[in-house]
Amino acid sequence: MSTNRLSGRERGEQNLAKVREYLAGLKAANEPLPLDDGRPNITAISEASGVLRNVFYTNAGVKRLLALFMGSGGESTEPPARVLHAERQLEIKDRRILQLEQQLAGTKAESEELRKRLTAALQMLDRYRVIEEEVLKTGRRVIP
Amino acid sequence: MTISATVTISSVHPGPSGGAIFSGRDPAGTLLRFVADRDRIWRAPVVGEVWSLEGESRSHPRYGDQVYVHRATPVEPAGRLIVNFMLRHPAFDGLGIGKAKAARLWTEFGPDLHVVLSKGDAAKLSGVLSGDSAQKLVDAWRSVTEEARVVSFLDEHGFDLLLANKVRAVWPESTLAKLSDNPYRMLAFANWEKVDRAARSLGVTEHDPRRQVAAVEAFLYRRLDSKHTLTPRAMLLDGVRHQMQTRGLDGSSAAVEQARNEHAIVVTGGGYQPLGAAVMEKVVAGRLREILGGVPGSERNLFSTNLASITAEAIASFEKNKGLKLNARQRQAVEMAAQQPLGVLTGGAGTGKTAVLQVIHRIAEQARVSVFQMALSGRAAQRMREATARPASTIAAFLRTSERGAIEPDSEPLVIIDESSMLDLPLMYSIVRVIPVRARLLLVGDPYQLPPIGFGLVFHILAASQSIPRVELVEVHRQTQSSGIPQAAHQIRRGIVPPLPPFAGVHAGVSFIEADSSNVIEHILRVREKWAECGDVQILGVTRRGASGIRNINATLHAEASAYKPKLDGWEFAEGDPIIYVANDYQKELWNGSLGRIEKIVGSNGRQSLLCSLDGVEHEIRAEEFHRIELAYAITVHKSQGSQFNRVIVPIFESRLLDRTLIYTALTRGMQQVVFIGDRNAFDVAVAAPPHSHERQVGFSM
Repeated sequence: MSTNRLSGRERGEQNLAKVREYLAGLKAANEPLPLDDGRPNITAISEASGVLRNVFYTNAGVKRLLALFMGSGGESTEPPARVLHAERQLEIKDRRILQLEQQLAGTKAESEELRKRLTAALQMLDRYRVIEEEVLKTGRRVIP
Repeated sequence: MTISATVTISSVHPGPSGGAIFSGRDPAGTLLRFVADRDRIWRAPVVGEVWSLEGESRSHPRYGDQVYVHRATPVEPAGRLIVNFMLRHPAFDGLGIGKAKAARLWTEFGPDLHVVLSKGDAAKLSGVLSGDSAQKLVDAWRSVTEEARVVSFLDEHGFDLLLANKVRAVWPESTLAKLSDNPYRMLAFANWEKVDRAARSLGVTEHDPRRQVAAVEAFLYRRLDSKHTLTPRAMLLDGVRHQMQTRGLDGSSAAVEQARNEHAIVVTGGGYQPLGAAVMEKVVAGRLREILGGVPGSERNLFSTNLASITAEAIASFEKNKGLKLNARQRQAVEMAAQQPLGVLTGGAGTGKTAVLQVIHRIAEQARVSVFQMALSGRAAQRMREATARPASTIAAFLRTSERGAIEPDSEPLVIIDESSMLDLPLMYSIVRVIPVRARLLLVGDPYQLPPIGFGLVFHILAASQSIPRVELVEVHRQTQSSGIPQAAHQIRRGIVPPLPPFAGVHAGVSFIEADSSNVIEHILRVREKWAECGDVQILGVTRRGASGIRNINATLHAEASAYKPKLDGWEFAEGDPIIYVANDYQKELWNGSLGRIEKIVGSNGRQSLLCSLDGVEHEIRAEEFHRIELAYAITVHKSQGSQFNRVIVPIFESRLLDRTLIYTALTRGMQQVVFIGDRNAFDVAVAAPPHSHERQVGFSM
């Protein structure tokens, strides 16, 4: 499956995994995080990790991972349980949003279909009203 | 001068009650103005349409030359007119076809555009339009042009063009295909001869099953026109043989079998019924049985406790307030209405039905039971309203209220219907279908009065049924016994010809003037002259047409009375003329049967209107409503039901409408004096013969 076909949530998780792998590599090789004036050098990290630059500004998980790596002196890329819990909650909420979005799309389609059917039913009702009026007036059968 | 023209409509002013005034340009560019009455055109044209029109050109003092349309048919546009048509007709709105696209379509296809659209070839249009737009255009074209083809079909086969609307409303999709598939579909709207001729010209053979079924139905419809909903087998077989013009009865038997297999007719123990009437009778009987049997869990008495004392209290209170004493039958009637979910209250004019209703209202009010009381005619409803001092509506108004959903389906109202003898089967069906499941129903009427005008019979059967709670009031209150009217009425009810003395001026009672139709008017004038000082005199006619018909009487008396009075231009109305309103107008609270008088004619130059008093209230009747009023020096006995007059004149001659019930109804409209004028033999024969309602063959029973 190409990246283009991934959903936003899946891409986010993929980017997070890449950054985690990159930081784990740094730790294993005992190399420091590239810095620029004391702050993470995003351009260098982006090139080295294969994750686009903007992800380091927009993906909350990636930002947290970098901050943790900086704070831990590069000792651990595993976030503490509190953060993991928050991430898990976010994932659950993301999934729920996705689920609701899908439900909404389904309901919209259903509502459109029902509206079409209602219009057809109302037209039919009008027709039967005319037929009933005729039958009441003349007693004659109207062949459908 | 007669004019025929094909024009593209440029402006339209639809009339408030059908018809239209419109303008259009002919191919030479000449602008013509048309006036089409509602019985000449089934719908107003639409700007952009092309119509073929025929009519009489006359000059109007204000609008100049106008063509008064005799015949109008829409034409399917062809050639370059298609482009104009698409740009101007509302059916093409919202399809995204503006001037540029329409022009491109013309450039691309030229005169072939008509062929492409008629074939519904949306794919071919895709060079100019998107697939979706092309399909929508093709659909819109099919919809608007099919009407022209339907009209052409109707025209070709000699059907009334005014049927176009109904035909399209009943078969909105593939109308022509349906009519070609089974031309006998048109039997819903037209007579057998016309439909059969059309079908045979379209290739239907003599023994085609479609023809067989239609012949059976057509004969049952003929019977329905004579008010019968049931036809015995032998009569049906013979009728079908005549209808199909076959020799033996074998063909008829096969046709009846075919109709039965296709469920086009219903077979009952007593004979055969057309489907619609059979269903209506079944529904009415079923609903009445439901009401009679009660719905489980529903409290069927108006009161859950202490019914006897509350009823007695209501009667005592009524008697004290009115200074009247209810007789035993009236008390029974009150108790029946309070205790029974379905009841029939019968009695001749003046037997005190109104007093019973007044007490029932009191009981219902104490029990907080809502009451809907109604009658068929506006005048009868008004009389009910006045007599009970409670709201009352026409049945039509009640049905409209129900359609609006204003009657709670879970409620348990008491529905009282006065003059129930006038209810035909379709009306009874319409009523029982809308009244709530737990409603109580009290039918009030006089089975000796006129039977319903429409087909079927319900009230007369209920009034004679042992399984329906019913009370007959017999003691006459309203008319003084000394007037002689109640005695004569009582004899006529039983088919006995009463002794009727010759007319002798002003006195109480009933008399007869023998006359022939050539001098009936003279006698009417003489009686009116004798009664000149009495006021409240009404002539009640049996028929509308003929020398003794109400039209002739009205024309003669109008001419005599209006000689020196202001008249309405172009109409036979003058100041002082008595009039009757012949439509229901819910906003004005005027009803079919409202009686009154033209007080003044106001305005001029074709903008006149009438100031009238109708049902005691002043109304302005404008030009568009003139067709809703008629002269009322004489009205039909049918229209008089529910009304009384001090003195009544009834011209009586042989007629298929004349029977005991009609004479009885006419007689009991009079309170002081009634004079019959005409053929004494016709009178005697009609009184002695069983009433027409007894001859009606119906499937309804309880």
